[in-house]
Amino acid sequence: MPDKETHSDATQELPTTDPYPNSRVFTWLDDRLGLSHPIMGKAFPEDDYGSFLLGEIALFTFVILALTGTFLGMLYQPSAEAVTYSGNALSYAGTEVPGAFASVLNITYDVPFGMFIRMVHHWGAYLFVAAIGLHMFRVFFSGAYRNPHEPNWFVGSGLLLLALVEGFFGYALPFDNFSKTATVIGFQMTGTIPVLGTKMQLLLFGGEFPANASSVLPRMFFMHVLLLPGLIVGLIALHMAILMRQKHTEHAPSSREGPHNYLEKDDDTYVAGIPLFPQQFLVTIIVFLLTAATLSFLAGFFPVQRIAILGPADPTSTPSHVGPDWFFMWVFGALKLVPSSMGAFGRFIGGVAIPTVMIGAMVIWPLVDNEDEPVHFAADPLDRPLQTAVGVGAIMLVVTMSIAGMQHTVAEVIGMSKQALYPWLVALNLAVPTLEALAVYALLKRRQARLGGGSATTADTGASAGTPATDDD
Amino acid sequence: MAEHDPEPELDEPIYEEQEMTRRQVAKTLTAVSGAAAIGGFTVDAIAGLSTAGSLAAEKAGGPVYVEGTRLVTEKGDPITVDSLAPDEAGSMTVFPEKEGGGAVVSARSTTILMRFPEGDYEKPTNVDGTAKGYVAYSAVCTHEGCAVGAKDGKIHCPCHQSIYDPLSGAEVTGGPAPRALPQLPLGVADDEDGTLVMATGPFEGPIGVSH
Repeated sequence: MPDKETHSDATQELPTTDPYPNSRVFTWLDDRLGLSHPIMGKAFPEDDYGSFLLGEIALFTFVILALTGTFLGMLYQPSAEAVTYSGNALSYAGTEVPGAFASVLNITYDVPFGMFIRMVHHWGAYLFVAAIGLHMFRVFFSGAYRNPHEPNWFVGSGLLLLALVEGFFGYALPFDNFSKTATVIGFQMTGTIPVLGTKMQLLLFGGEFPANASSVLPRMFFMHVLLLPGLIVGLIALHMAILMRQKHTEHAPSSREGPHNYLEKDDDTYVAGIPLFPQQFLVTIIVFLLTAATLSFLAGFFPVQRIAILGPADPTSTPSHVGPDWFFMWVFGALKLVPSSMGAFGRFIGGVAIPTVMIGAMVIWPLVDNEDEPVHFAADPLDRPLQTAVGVGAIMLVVTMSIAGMQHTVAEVIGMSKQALYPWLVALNLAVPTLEALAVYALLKRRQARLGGGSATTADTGASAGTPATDDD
Repeated sequence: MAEHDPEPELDEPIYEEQEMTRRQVAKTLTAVSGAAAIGGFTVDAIAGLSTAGSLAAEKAGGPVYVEGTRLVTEKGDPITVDSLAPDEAGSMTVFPEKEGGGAVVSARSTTILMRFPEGDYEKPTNVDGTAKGYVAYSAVCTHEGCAVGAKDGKIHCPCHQSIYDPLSGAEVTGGPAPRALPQLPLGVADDEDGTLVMATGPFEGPIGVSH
């Protein structure tokens, strides 16, 4: 992504142009656009695990989502009015279904390559959220959110939230009976927000759902294809700008061993790594192609949200195994775990308060675990018992809440009644994350003690003290 | 602020103070007009967008049944006393009849009709609101508004696994639902179509989710 400011200081004598005197294309472009901007040499630190590429995967998934979404948006009709479907999907041919459902049937079964593009879009949504989540795991466990990187943690958290909301509105659009149910629940959850609830329902959805679906669908469609993607693009730009400004975090100085050992190992005032162009640029192309290939594979072989099976939105019935996309399963679980005795207030606790507190804790974490001095090296999670334990416990909580969200299926698989399962699910959610966090903490503390006092300083000053020696390799 | 010197050294402090004041006035005016412009558009947008929704939302309210509304299937066929067998704890989804025939099919009007032996009902069921062993409840879950269904003599919500007991006023016996489903009082009356089941009044409580 070359910056556009290049023109003014175009003719800087940088060595980066020299390696390509034989490339007439490069020379031609360089003469006119001044490609040899310092930004081309931006260092991308070495990373044996590929974990520094997770953010790129999220970025490219967004690109693919935007492209496939453009295709779908041109064919989709945000209408709840009944129309007669006449296409290839036999079980619906000649029947009256909502316009939105008919248009998605049309995309899926009648438009050439429509089903493939729709599935890439759906899997892309899964991968987008997953890649952001994994990217945040990497940042969290390696302590890359610490001073001075807190702003980018906040921006990144915003991107995760926008991705989730995008997922919610996108899920609603086909107006099948699953997505209708999800939208009803989201609509009702919004209504539990004190004071602002009803106002926000009308603002976000544009009317009562499903009674006024014909005014709700266009609004959700517009938010899904313009407002939210626009915000995402803006935040991605901000995310990148902050990254450029602050530079990448880098693995502990061990990565400077080998051929680069002339560098100062403990000096974190500069970043060592491969330049953006051409080396990282090629890596990036590979990541993009692999992302596209993975999504194509998944879309081709594992179709999801098959609306012909789910059936059109029916206000009078709810399918028996209804559930949201996986990234909302934990909220779905929170709604189930709140006991009936809490009354209407319990709906606010489960649907709004618990998720808000959990997301809020995630967002403000860099302010809780703060450092006075800037840290530019990534930490080894094994050297940070408290933070790693908190992270593992939090991930485990989301997992156990998701299991509670799948109560129905769990009950069927282990052959228990849903009611008998409920206390176990509550216990699971309270005990497992706590125990696991404590166990991780105890283990890592023991490890620290075993390795001696050296690592005690590590916890304070980040990884820059003496960590490389403790690496297991 | 100028210091309290007895000797008036007029030039500098006063000149500086004036310059600051003018700049601050300019800044304040810019801030106020900027905030007014942004705030005005924001208020316009929020008010417009949310009011457009509420205008549409008004159509959704109102009672679903009144006294004498006949219960019909989704296709509009009237429910008779023989629609469900007396002792099988059977159930079906019914709707209020539209004026002039057919059914009013919407989420709020969806009603679950069950039939049990007449003596099986317990408090807090409105036993007067049952007829020939028939009982009817709103099919909108009071938790998050999903449509409930009957299975094994209980009413289940497929979304978050709330369970209601139709024999005791659809009280919540499991899951997160905050309150019982509202009951629809029923009666039977002879008609040219046979002995029909009909409502003797509206639902005895708010339909679905209430805040």
